[in-house]
Amino acid sequence: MYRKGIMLLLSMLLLAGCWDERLYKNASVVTLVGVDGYIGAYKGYYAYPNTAAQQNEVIEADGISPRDVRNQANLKVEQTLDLSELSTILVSDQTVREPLYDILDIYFRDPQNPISIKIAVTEGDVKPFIELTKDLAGGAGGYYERFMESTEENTIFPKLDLQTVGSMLFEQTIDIALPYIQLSEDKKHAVAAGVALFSGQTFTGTILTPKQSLTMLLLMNQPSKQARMSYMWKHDGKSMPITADVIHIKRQWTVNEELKRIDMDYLIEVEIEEFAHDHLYKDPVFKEVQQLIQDHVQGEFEEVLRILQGQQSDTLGIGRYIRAYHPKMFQKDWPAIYASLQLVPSVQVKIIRTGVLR
Amino acid sequence: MDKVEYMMKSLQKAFYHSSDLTVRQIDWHEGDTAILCFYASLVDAKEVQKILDTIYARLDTEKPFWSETLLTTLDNFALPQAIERVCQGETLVILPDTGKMLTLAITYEVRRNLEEPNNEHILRGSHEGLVERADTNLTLIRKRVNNPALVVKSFTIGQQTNTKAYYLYMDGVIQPETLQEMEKRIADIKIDYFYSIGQLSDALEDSVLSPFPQLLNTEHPDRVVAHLVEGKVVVMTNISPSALIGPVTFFSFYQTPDDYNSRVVVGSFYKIVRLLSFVTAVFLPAFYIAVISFHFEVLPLELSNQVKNDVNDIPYRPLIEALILEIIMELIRESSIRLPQSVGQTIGIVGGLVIGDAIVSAGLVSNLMVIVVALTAISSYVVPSVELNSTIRMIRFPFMLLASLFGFLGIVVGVVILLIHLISLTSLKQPYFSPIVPFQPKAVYKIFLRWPFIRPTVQVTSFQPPKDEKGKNEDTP
Amino acid sequence: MNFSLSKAQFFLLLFIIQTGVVYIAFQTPLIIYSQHSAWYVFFLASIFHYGLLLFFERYYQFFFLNGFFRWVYLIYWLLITAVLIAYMGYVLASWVLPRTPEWIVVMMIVGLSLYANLVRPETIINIGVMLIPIIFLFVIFLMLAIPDLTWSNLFPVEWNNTRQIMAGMIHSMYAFFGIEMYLLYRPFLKQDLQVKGKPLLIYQLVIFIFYFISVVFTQMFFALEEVQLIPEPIMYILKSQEVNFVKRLDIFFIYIWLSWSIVTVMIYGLSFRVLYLSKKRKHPKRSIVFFHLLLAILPLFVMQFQRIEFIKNSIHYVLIVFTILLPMMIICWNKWRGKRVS
Repeated sequence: MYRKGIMLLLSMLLLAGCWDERLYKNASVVTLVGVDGYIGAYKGYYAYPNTAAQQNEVIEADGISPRDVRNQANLKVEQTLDLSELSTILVSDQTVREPLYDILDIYFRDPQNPISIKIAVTEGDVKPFIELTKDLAGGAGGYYERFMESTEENTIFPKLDLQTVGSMLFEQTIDIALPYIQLSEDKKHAVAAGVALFSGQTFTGTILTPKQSLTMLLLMNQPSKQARMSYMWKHDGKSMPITADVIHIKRQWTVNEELKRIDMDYLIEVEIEEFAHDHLYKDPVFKEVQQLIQDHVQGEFEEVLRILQGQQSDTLGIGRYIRAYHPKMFQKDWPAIYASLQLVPSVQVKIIRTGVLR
Repeated sequence: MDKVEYMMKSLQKAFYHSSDLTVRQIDWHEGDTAILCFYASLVDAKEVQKILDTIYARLDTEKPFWSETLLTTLDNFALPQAIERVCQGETLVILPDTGKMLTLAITYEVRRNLEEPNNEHILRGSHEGLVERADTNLTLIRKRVNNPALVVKSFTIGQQTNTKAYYLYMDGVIQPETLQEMEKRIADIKIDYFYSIGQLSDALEDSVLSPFPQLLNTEHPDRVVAHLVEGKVVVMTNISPSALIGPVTFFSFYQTPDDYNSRVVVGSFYKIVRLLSFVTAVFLPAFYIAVISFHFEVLPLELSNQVKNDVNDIPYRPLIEALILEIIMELIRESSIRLPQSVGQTIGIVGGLVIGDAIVSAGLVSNLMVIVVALTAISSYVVPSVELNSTIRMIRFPFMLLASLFGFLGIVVGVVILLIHLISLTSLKQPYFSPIVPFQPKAVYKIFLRWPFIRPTVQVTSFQPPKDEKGKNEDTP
Repeated sequence: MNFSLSKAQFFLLLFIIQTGVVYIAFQTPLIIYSQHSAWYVFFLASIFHYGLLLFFERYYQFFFLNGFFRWVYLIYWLLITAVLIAYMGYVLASWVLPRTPEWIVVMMIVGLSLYANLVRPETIINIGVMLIPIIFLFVIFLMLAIPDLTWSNLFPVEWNNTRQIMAGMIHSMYAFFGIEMYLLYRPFLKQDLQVKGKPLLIYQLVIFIFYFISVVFTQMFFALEEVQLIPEPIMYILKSQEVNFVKRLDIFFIYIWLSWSIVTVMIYGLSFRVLYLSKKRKHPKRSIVFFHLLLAILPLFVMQFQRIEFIKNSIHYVLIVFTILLPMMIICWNKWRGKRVS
C-alpha cells in the first residue's frame, strides 16, 4: 500500500514539468549582436535566421542597459531571443569611449552565453553592418566570425575572443587592440580597417592601419599563417616590388632599470614571395634586398611604438614582462610610466627562403 | 494365466488406458510367457525386435548374464519403476514368474539436423549447434572434451513432467562454492510442469527482477566447452537446444567464438567496437533528446543551422517523436519474427519507404531522429546474445524519459543507477561486473583486448579482492 | 561491516574523497590570498600533506574512537556532506539548471546515495573505477587551454611575504580535506599489504600533480583581479575552449563533475555506515535512511549566495580542526594510554 503511494507521488513529481527545458524549436537563435549608444540610452541590434525565407532578420531596440535592450527586443519577436549560439558582437566606436566592461558584463555573467566569440569595433553606427547580413543565406554571426578569423590568419587582427578580451580588461599590465571594421563603398561588405587601440577600458580614438597593425603583431611575436609585407625597391633607376612573408620571429627584451630603457632585439626570418628581378643567389642582390627589408621594418617598428606610447596603450604586454621580472620598476601608475619609457627596437632580418625560384 | 492377465489389466490401468500403450503377451524361454509393455510412439520397433531375437538366442544357452547387453538390463519388477521406464521410452519385458523385468532402452530418435543456430551466427569456427535432445548434446560435448574429469550428473525437472536434464562441470577446475551453489539451487527447483527453458532460468537465477540475464544461453557447443574448462556449470535439458551456463559476467555476453578464431589485432578491434555499441545503443537517443531539448548550444555552428531547420516544424517535443519512431521499430521487429517468407521482402520495402521517407515528408518526425533511431537499432543488434539484446533495447526507454525530463542531469542519474545495479548484481553469488568488481587494474584491459595466448583461469568468486595476486580475473571466450 | 580493500581500491577511494567536490573551486581562495605566490605555496602545502599522510600511516592503529568522539565525527561528516550537497546544488543552479527547484536536485543526489548505501559496501568502493577515464578526460581537455596561458603570471617569486604565505597555506587546506578517511579505512586494508614507502609516494604524487596542474593553469589563465570574481575557475577555463565537434565543453564537464561528486557523497555515506555500524546495532537500515533524510533537509537551508560565501570563507578553519588537530590529539592520547584499534 505504501509502495503504491510512494510510486504515485514520485510519478506525479515527474509529470509536473521540466523546468529547464528549452526546446530548440521554440528559440530564435541570435548569432550577431550590435551595440550602439551610451550608458542610459543603448540601442541594440539582433540578427537571427528566418528559416522559412533563408534570410536573416534584424530586430532593433532601445534600453538603459544591454540586458534591458534585449528585454525590449523580446517584445518584438515571435520566439524569445536566445543568445546561446551567439558568435559575434559588434560595438560602435562611439560606444567604446565609455568603459567597455559595462557592456560586456552580461555576456560573462550569464552561464548560457558562449565566451569564445569574436568582438569588433565598427566605424560609425553599427546598424549598416548588421543590415548587410540580411541577404546572406548563412548565419549573420557566422559571416563576421569567419571574416575575422581569416583576417587573423593574415596577421592583421590579433587573435582574440571575448574571454581573452575580458581577461585583459581586468589587467592593468596589458591593453587590448580590438579589430576595427569599415563598410565598403557599395555597403554590401565589411572591410578590415586595422585595429582600435584601447588604454584601460576605453577607446583612445586612434586606429592603426592594417600595415601598422601587422607591425604591432610582429612586435607582439604573434605572426599568424601569413604575414606579408610589400616594399618598393629602387635599383638602377627602376622600381620593383618585393613581398616578404614572415616565417619566424625571435625576440629578446633587455630592461635597463636605471635608465628606464628597454632594448628590444628582434630577429625576423622571412621568405621572399614576390621578386620579379630574381637572381637572389647573387650576393650583392641578396644583401641589398635584406638590408632594404630590414630598414623598412625598423622604421615601421619605431613608428608603431611611438603611436602606442603616445596613446598610453600597452598592447605589447611590456607591463606584464616588467611586473614579472622587474617588479621594482612596476608601480601603480603604469600607463604614465609606460609612456615615459624609452623603447629602442633593433631589427635584424634574415631571408631564409626564396620560394621555388632563386 | 490369471496372474498374467491381472498384471496386464493393472498395467493398462496404471497407464490410464492410453491408445499408444501396447501391452502384449509373448512367449518366453521354456514355455513361460512374458508381458511386453511399451509406448508405440516412443519405441523403435525394428531395433527392439532385433535385440529381442539376440536375447532369445541367448536364453537357450543358460548363460548367467544373458540379459546384459549394451542396451538391455535385468531388474526387479516394481510397478512405479516400470511406469517410469516406459515413460522414458524403454520397452519392458516383464517375467511374472521370476518377478523380474528386462528393459530395452532403444528409443525412436526424433531430432533435428545439427544445423547452425539461427541466433548465433559466426564467421569461422564450428557450425554445429545443440539440438532438443540431451543425449545428442552430450555427444557433441564429450567429443570435444575427451577427459573423464568432465562429470555429467542427471536430474529430472518438473514433478509431473519428469523431464530429463543434465548438469556438467569439469572436476578440478571448478570451485567448490560454485558447484555447491548450483546443486543447492537445482535441488530447490519447485516446478510442476516443465515445458520451457525460461522456467529453469528463472529458478536458477539470483535476481529475477533484474533486466540483465545472469545465466548465459547458448546453442553453440564450442562456447559451452570453452566455459566448461573455465570452471562453469552447464545445464542442458531434453526439451530445448539452449544450454544454460553460470556463473557469468557482463562482459562474457560480449564475446563470440569469432574473437578467438581470428587474429589478435582484428579480434581486439572488433571487441572494442562491440563494447562501444552498448554505449551507442543505450545512450544515443537519450543524448539526442537532451541536446535538442535542453542544451542545443552544444552543437557547432554549421550543424546547429541544419538541426534548427529540421526540428522547427515538428509539432511536439522530441520525446514524443522518439517514442513514435521507437514504437514503429519495435512493431517492425516483432512482426518480422513472424512474417511468412513469401511476403518478407515486400513488407521490408514498404516499411523502409514508410518510415524513411513518408514520415519525414509528412512532418511527423525529423530527419535526424530517423538517423538516430536507425543507428541505435543497428547498434543494439551487435550484441552476440539474444537476451542482452532485448535488455538493451528495453533500458533505452527509461533513459529517454529521464533525458526528456532533466536533460543531461537525467542521463547522469540514470547512469549512476544503472552502474549501482550492475555492480551489486551477482550471478550464482559471484560478482556480475567483474573485473571491475573487485577492482584489479591488471585484469581490466583484458575486457578490451584479445590476448594472444589464452590460459583460461577461473573466474573470481567473491567481492573481496583475491588473497594472493595470482588469483586474477581473466576473461573467457 | 566486513569487507577488505586492496591497495588500488583504497587509494582510489581516498582520491575520490579528497578531490570530490572541491576540485573546481579551491583555486579561487588560494589565489586571492597568496596572489602571485599561489603555486609554490601550494607546493609547500602538498609537502605538509605528505608529511601528514606519513604520520597517519605510522600511527593509524591508535586512532580508536570512543563513544563521544564517534558522535563528533558522525555529526561532522553529516554537516560536511550537507554543505557539499548544498554547494553542488548551488553550482548546478547557477551554471546549468536555473529554474529547477533546489529540493529536486538535492533529492536526486540523496536518493542515489541512499540506493548505493543500501546494497553491499563493495558497490561504492568499486563504482569509483568507472570514474577513472573521466578524470583523464578532465585533464586532457584542460590541456587545450595551453595556448592561452601567460607564463608571466607565475612570477615574481618572492619569499619575504610571510603573511601571504601563511594565509595561502591555510586556504589550500580546502583542497585536502577528507584525510581523516585514511585513518578510517586503513584498518580494512588487507594486513599483509605494504603501504608505506612507494605506494604512498605514488598516491601523493598523483594527487599533487592533478591539483597542481589546475592551480597553475588557473593562475596563468586569469588576471589576478579577474580570479576574485570567478568562483569556479576550472569550469570557466573549459567554457572558453572551443573544440571542433562541440561548442560548450563546460556543459559536459559540469555533469562529469556532478557524477564524480555524487560518488564522493556516497563514500561519505559509506563512512558514516562504517563508523556507526562498527558496533552492533538493531536496525542498521533504518539509521542509514534517517541519515539520508537529514542529508536531504539540511542543504536546503544553506543553498543561497550569502550563506555559501560565508561557509566558503570559514570552512578551512573547521577542516584544520577536524582533519589535522583532532586526529593528532586522539592518536597521541591513545598512544599514551596504549589503546589500539583491533
